[in-house]
Amino acid sequence: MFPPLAHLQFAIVASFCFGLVAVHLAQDLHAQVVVVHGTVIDRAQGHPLAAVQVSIHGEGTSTRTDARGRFELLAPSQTVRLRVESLGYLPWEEEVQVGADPLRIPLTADPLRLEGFVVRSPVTGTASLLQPSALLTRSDLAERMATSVAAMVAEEPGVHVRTNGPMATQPIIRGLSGDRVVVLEDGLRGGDVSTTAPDHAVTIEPSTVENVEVIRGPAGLAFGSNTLGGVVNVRRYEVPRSLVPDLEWGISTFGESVNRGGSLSGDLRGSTGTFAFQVGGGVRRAGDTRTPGGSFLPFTDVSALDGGAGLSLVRDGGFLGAAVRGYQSRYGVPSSYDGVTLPGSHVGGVYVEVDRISGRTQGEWQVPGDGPLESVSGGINAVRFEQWEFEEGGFVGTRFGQLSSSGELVLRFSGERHQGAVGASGFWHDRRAEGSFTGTRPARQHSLALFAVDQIQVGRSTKLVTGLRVDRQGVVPLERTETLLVRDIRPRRFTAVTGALGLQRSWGSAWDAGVQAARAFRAPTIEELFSAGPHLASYSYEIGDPSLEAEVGIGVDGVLRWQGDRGRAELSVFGMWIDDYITFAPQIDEATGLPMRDPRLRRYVVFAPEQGDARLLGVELSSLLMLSDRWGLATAADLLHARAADGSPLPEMPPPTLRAELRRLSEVGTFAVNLQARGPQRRVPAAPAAAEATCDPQVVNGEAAVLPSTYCPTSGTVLLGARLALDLESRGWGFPQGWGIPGGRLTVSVDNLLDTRWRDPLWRAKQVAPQPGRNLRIGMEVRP
Amino acid sequence: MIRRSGWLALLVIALTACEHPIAVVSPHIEAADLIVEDRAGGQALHTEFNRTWSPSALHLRDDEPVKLFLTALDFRGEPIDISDRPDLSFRMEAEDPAILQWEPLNGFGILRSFGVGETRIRFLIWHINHADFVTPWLDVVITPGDLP
Repeated sequence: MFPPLAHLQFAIVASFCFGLVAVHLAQDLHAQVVVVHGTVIDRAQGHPLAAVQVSIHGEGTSTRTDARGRFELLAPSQTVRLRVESLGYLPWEEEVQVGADPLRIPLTADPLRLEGFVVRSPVTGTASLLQPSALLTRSDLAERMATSVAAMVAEEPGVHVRTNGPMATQPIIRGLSGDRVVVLEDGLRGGDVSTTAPDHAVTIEPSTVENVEVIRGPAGLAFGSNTLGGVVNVRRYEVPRSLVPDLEWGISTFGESVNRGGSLSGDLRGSTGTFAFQVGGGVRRAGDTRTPGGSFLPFTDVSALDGGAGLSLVRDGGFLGAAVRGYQSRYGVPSSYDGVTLPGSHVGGVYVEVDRISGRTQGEWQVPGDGPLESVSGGINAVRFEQWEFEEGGFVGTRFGQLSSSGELVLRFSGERHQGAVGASGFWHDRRAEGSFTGTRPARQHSLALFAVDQIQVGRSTKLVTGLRVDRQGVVPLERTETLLVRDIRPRRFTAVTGALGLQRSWGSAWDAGVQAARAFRAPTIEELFSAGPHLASYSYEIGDPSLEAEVGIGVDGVLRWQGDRGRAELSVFGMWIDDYITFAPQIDEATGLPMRDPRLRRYVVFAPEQGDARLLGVELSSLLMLSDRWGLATAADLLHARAADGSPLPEMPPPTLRAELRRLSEVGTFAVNLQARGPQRRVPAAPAAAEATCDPQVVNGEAAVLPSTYCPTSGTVLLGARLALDLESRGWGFPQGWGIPGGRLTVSVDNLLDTRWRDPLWRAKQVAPQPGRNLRIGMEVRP
Repeated sequence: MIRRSGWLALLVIALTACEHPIAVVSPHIEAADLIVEDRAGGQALHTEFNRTWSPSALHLRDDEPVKLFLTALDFRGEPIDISDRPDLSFRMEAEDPAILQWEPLNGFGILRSFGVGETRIRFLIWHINHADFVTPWLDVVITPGDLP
């Protein structure tokens, strides 16, 4: 039943225990020896927890749970006091009666803990120690609740967010964005068009999320190609994986003052017989966003509705289930500020409506016996997506439609010194658009990959991680009519062999270090290959280049982690060398020497993709230091230097950032004051010689005439904030016991406390409109 | 029976979901200007940066249909051949459709007047269900035709 490695661990522990027992027997021949065994799970999410320390109080015997959360210990008597400890969870200690039935020990996430969990590789199921990563739990997300997933993860080092209004946001990791950062739902692709334009939204309602994994750097082996920048894996566990003994439910609400908005979400999980089910959903509404000084940014209101349900058959050997989910939203894209039309906006404003329906099946089979094959798991996700962009007057300027599916099959193996997996993954999507302003050519994109990963234990404290992946991708235009500027439209196919090699070493229980070199690749997108149309969100007319090559990147990461009684820290240094990095650049008309105007409307400058080598170097730091038993200081900082082969700065790179929070911790909650400091963004590409505007906006006929933000520096800023998080149950403010509601968690926070006027260096309209002003946020979660 | 209907409904829903919501659409025509020629009458008008017309008016005689040849130009001033694009067609809009009507034909159209007076028209290059190109308004002067 147990894998051989666990047997080895067990044998070592057992030998040690037997030695102790033998001594004990020599002293007391009447003593009994029994085996205590069971599973440790996350109380809120129900999934098993690996590498959890389990010890028998007062006996000096301990072990760690295996990949399935299971443990076995020799106990001196039928009644023992067990202590279970894991990073990020409250310790669990109880006296238990040892019997034939296995124990089921739920651990509760520690409300005082800080971000910085090590996430687990979805491929091997083992800790992904070689890459900088973080796991944001429901508690973390409740404290960071925002209108978008990207905004919620933006406090992580190396992670930034590109906004075009509160909904149209995309995560940027290590300066890379768009298709280079993959946003997944339960490990599978979401199937929206969020990466294709800066006014498109990630179609995930944040209030319904259980946890979020953030992996920085190339992660192609585990999550698929195109992950040069990193991965944001949003988890809801839509397909239940385990039975729960009692009904579990939760309700959370959230409100904020900056847009007079709020959300309400809830979920319910339960079991009947061998079936587990879950239902959940959320609703969100918000008005226009207030900026410092009191002016509002029109067309930033939001409404969203999200709901889903899942059902699984759960047995001892695994689960098989399905889930469906529906998502609708309507949001505005900012159009003007203080009466001035923003550069890159639609005159009169735009509303975007999104409708997404998804269905997925997932399953896992844990192979019985002691063979090397440990488990087989897989999943398929199918998504139907539609998006309407309503121009002034209510007519549809552009309508997108996409059918997509993605899937994976993973076989996990383990041996005495090995833990690994082989598998296959793929995706397919058929994207089309229609309308007066669309420039997207209908096309299909597909990918199939085979991969293998192995983690080898080398000695007691060193691990070697190797991986290999072969990708085959294709982009097939469904319509090949040539346009004036885009010729030779043809199907493109890309094949790439990528891989990773890493080494991790531990020194005692406090220090870990890892170094990894990875090769990743990204095929050009449909838009980069075939576009021909106005891109009003970026104030450009973008054309594609059907002859583009794939980007290929070599990334090297070095990670040093420390964890002690007084805190933890993670320092990562990385370098990435990307061949054929794609950027969009303005085109010059050879006939006139002036910027080329679009052939249709003669209003926008034509931008075309250009390829060149790029180099990105950076440092990221996150830490928590306990200054005393009650005071803690959390910091997160990042610094990025990105340049093209000729030494010029790459466009749209984030400035250095520092976030620091001083926390007063107690049993009932946390009070904290924080600051976010962004350095000036001075390294921007030089503007074209023939540019017709400057970085200072000039208002002409009510419209801002200004140089594209790509070429304009941004000054630094410091924002102050405060936060109070209370555990109502501990505080004694819980609900009456007769209600059966044990309590909740209340979070009150203020962002931009001083109502500072600041500019987002990554927003295309930064020269004209500032970012949101002071924001009071109140969130409450009730969860047994 | 109910169970069978339920499965049938699920099957219909699944098949509907698998149908792509948007048909394959050809790209927009990238026209920048338009030439309008009345070859028989010797009139030739064209838009300038698609903002104004030169000359500024089209002169017609009542009861004398005019055959107009329309040619789209790209931003470099080169003609665009749309004869092989069945998804594209020339359309005309008149402010007073009671006195002017447009009969589209292959490569040209016939403009018919039904009264004396002045109105304004504009030409569109229609692409499936929307206009890819719309000219500015053009003044049209209709004078009395030759009486028998």
